[in-house]
Amino acid sequence: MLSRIRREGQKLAVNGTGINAVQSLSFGYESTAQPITTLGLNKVVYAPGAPQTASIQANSLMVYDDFFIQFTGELPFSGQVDYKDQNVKFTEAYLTSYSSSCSIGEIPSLGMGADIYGEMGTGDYLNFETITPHDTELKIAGYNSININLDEFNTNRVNSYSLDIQTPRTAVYAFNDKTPSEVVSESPLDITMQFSIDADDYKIKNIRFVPEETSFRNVSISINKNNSTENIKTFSFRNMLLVSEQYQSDMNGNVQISFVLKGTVLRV
Amino acid sequence: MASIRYDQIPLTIQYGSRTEKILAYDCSLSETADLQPVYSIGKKGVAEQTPQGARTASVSFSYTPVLTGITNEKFKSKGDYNIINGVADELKTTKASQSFGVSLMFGGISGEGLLTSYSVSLEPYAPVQCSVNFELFGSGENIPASGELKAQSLFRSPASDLASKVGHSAYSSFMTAQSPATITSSDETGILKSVNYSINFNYEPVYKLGQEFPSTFLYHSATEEARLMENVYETGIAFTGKSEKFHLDVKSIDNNNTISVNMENPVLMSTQLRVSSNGVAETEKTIRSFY
Repeated sequence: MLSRIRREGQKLAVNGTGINAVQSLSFGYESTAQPITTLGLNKVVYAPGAPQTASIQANSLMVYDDFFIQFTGELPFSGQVDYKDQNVKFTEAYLTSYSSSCSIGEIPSLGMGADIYGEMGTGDYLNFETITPHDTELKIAGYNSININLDEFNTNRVNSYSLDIQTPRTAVYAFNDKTPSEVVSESPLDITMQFSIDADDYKIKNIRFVPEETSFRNVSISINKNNSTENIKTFSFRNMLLVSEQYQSDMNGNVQISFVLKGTVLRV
Repeated sequence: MASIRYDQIPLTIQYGSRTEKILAYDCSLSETADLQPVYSIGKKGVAEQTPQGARTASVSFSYTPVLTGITNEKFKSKGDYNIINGVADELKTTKASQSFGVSLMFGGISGEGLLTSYSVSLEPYAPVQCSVNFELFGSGENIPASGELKAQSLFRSPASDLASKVGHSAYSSFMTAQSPATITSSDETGILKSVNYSINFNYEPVYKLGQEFPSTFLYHSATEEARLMENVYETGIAFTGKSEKFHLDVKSIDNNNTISVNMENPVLMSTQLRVSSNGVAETEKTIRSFY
């Protein structure tokens, strides 16, 4: 009889630790084998045209242990995905993007993407001695327990925020190696924050505000456990540059203003 | 006449008793007639355009070497299965002209040429790409290139396969102690990210009055060069030239059938260091040999 695999039959672990509150997971690869199409072609032959990589993406709810933020640095991670009686392992994964977002009526969420330069697939090339089980108490954050400090927002209601951190990497390959000799973490990190507010007295800048009135803002987002003051995550950035503002309205809604702040963080 | 697709134009070369079908990505032929305008006193316009020199042609193509071509004992004994690599090696070793030309045939056109340049490029984990140029001079009554472009009918195999016998960087490497990789003062060896090797040959065609095409060719010299992309930089280029090593074995995906490229006494000619914002420092060095 055909069976299926549901959410309870899967598990994602990174460096031996089970990841909590995963909402979606995808991983895979695209073979670099390419046909050699030559003059007078009488047979199609394939050969690897570039080193092989893979990628993994996951989304989770914001819970007390935000596991992936620590990998925006230079260290890689390994992991495994268990589904039914299968076990897919991966090594040398480098985080390339990290995101977090929440809007009214949503549970704050996290997202990550990583490129895998080592191995990925079934096989016995990696052995975590013991994998910590997923937690049963997650301490999920709630939209009603977020404090945002943006200087001028006493009379303007924040409807949503989104945070995106890009952490690009450059793999350095020897010409005859299938795995990189090193993976260089590029600098700076690009940070983008977008806020959407119900406007009251918000003043949109003149489009020629740069350079005389260039606007930098300190941003702090403190996320607490749902309906609680127990802090589980704080994002804090200094001197984020205001790069865009967008006014939006229609017949049936309030005036909404979206604005984007950009930051760049140099690696140490 | 219908247009002709690339897969109807096979490229084959022949050298002595060896024939090799080339896995060529492109091929170009150009022919030139050396015509000059003739002016004369008493005539306002040009009198005519008249030949001043011989017709010449050149054929160039890029390809991935197949390492199990037809061999003869001479080349087999050197562990060399590739005609063009073998010809280049023979020329620079003997420092003599090709005893006979390489026959080139593609799409119904054929000619006989002298190898004038040959290059080998290795990028990370990819098929090796070679580029080559032949000069076709013609001889006796034979014009440099003859025949006409025609679609060739070929037997086509429906089966796909792994290109296990083609040159690939996967298992290619430098012989022990024959690598040009830079070793830093702290004994770290640079990562060789790509290798671009080339050799150019200079010949002198010898013409006789009364004949359009040359009667023979004299070998003059060859210049061999390798550009190496690395991740470390060696400062302080030597005034008298620093000796380097270069003995590359190009192998197939099944880790067999090497073609060897060995530079004799190469010397470091130039180094470059480049870095731009949001990037990693890249270094390149060029080593050169002359024959």
